[in-house]
Amino acid sequence: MKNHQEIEILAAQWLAREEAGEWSEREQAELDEWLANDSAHKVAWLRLRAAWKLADDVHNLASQGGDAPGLAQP
Amino acid sequence: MRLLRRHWRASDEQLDLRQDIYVKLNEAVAQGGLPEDAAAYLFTVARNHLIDKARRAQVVPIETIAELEALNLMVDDFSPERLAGARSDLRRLQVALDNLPPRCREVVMLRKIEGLSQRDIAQRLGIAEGTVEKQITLGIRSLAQSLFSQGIEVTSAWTRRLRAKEPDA
Repeated sequence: MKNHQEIEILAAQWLAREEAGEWSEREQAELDEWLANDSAHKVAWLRLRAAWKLADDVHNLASQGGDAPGLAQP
Repeated sequence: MRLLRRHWRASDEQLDLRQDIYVKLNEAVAQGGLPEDAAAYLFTVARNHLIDKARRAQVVPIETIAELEALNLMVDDFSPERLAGARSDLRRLQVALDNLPPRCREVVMLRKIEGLSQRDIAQRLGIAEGTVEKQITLGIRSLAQSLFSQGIEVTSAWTRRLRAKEPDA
């Protein structure tokens, strides 16, 4: 098995590439294959995707505390 | 991860273990779903996995195994005070964003707050699209690290349950 870090990098690259635009059916098929190859791929990809999705909540930060989130008080 | 960190020294191996554990969980989910109390289940999976690993690695000091087996006695670590100190999701997100390197953070904010495409971000910042994609890659990994590496949110209900199982603890 590849180590966690290599897998995590690949998973992050897939996610970034997917939202870079020009996502073709062929790329989707490649991603599907990569995910199906190894549970570890899928798990890493799901974990990162969840984190990236959570970052959408940044809107809630912005509406609560002003423009861009800086450091709130400790 | 707190559990892993305390009981497994080499941090790289720790991350490999985390991956193994996630894989186990993933397979458990595929086979019919997690049990009702997912946190307790995860804890048990992690603990058994560590014991298993420790047994196989001859170099692990015997105390490590004993410690792991006595883990139920250590649930006081998850004290109510500590639980109360757990950050809200938003606070955690804020910290995660603050942890990003400046350029990466800029890119992530443009993407998430302004909803700009990677191409638009590249134009706005005067950098290559490939650079934006790389910063996004870095940002995704860094966010996951910050958001998920601080351990499971342990509920007080779970703590009570564990205590009930070990009345003598």
